[in-house]
Amino acid sequence: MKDQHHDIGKVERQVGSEADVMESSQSEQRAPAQTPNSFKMIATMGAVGLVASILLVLTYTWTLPTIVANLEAYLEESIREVLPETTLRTDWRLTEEGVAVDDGTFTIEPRLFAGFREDGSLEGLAIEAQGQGYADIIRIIYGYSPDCGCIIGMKVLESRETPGLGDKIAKDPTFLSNFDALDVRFSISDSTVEGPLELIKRGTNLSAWQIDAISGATISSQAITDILNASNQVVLPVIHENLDLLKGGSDE
Amino acid sequence: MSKTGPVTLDQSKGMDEFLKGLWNENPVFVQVLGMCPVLAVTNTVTNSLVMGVATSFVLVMSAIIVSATRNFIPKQVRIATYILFIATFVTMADYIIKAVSLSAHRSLGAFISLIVVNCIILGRAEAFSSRNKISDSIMDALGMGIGFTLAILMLGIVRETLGSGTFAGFPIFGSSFEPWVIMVLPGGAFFVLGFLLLAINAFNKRNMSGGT
Amino acid sequence: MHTESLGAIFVNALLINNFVLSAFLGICPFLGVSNKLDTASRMGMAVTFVMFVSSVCAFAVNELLVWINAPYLQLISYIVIIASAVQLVEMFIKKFSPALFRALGIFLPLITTNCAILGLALFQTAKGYSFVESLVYAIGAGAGFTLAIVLMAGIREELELTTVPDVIKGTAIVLIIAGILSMTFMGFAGLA
Repeated sequence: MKDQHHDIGKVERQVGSEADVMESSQSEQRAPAQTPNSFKMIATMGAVGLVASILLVLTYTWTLPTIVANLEAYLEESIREVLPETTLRTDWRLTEEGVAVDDGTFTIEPRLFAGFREDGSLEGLAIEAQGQGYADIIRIIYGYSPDCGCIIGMKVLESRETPGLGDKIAKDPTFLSNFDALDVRFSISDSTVEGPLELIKRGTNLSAWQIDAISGATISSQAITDILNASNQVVLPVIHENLDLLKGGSDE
Repeated sequence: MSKTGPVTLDQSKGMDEFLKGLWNENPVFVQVLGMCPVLAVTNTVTNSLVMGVATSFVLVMSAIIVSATRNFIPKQVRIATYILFIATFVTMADYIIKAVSLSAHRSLGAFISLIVVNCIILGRAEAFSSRNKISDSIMDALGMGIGFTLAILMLGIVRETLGSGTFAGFPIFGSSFEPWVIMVLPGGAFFVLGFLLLAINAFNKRNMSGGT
Repeated sequence: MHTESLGAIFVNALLINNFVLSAFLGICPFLGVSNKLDTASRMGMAVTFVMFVSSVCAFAVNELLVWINAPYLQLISYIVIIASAVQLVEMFIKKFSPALFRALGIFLPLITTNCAILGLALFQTAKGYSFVESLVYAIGAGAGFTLAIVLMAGIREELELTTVPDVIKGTAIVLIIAGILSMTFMGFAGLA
């Protein structure tokens, strides 16, 4: 009906006028002779800046405890998933010399979490790792048991892989079952990983250190394999060298 | 602004301002503004909802403060101050979403912050809130916000049900349903919006030729 | 900590995760400015230049914000940087090529609201890129945007010569074409 005609015309004029306004406010030449009071302009900007800053600082400090609690809850839940029998944990981080107690401050080094069962025995270590996936960085946490020398669980913490394809690495139960008892072939005597984890396509014979790829998501599956390999190279020797310290139980 | 036509009460004018954002001047389907989030976050119903609410929040808060200060801000720094206000509210929305739900925040990612360059908000601030009183500006902002939310919800529902076979995470088809994965991929977003616009064009055309 | 090489970053932004067709950034100008081939290519160049400048400044500002521990100021400072960068580019173009300035017209200041630029700044910070990595990312993103918008402009110019049904004219058909383009770009996944 006619009304809609009018409205579309009005919208076009409105968008056009918005563009005009933007243009006129950007190019000083077009401003008419009336020069505004510079003091007033600066004062306004200053006042606005002040109000904005106050609002932001308030929001930030008000939401910070909740956000930190959320992150901690997510971490706790993730560790529980890769180390299911753990009831108590101690936090560590990698350092140049080996491991140090993690005091919660910001670090780019990977963190380890030692998980202890009810009876005090070490179930394993949850290790943070990350690496480039297909779309973006993938962050994972995986459980490693020094006793069996194998990975006992893996959870994808953050990923931006293709929905419906790559994101199966986080959800597909068949893929995830790869990580229930994945042999990392760590040689304690040499203190190195003897051979990498390998990704194979579906259908071929699976050895204990091989991961069965998700069909249609080979790149994302390979990314997980690469992340685990890279992490194992670095972290596992350190774990075995400091095993007693890590087993030492909680502190503080 | 002078009132034309029959005498209208303030409330009815407020309602007009509110309603126009829902259909006649719907920011997504008619004005075709704010496209980036429309395509990016409509892959699930939940994401669409959160984005819609966040955008409406920023719209309304900016409308209030822009309208309240419209007589105090010198013309030359107008756009700059509006952008400052909008950026502040967007940052606030970002932190609030992060505190309420980590997973929602992670799904939406940078697109929450990108609300600040959503042309709808600056557009409404400039075209309306800076020239009208607070109550009308709020109605205008609410209408636009809800219109925006409804539009992206429409997209989100189509994309999630067809693309993942779920609705807000709940599977609705049986396990034999083979999802149209394209729907949750970028291409699908373009297609769904394109076809929706097509449908609306067809609908409008039929109305226009059917009427006077 | 990444293992991405510079070449990989560039190709990623240009093709595999094209800024427009995969990451949904810069859609407004992509839909609005893509009807003529030369405006499209100029817009692309202007955007690339602004991205480059913004990337450098955003990196510097982020270092500062981390140092003073005020992460909540990130969005505001990035917006200010981008607006200033656009002003700078505008003055630059006006001085050195008035014809180009007139041709771009209103679109130049509108780059400020181009989510691709802000998206670039936010993504590069989120990914923790170093200075050089950010620069390569910016150039790749700009090139990706230019590629997408020029492709679309070429197609639209051809469309002018054909008959298009009324219902689909305008934004609808551009979106559907964009969808097809997006699907073709998915073929680049193998490059990863």
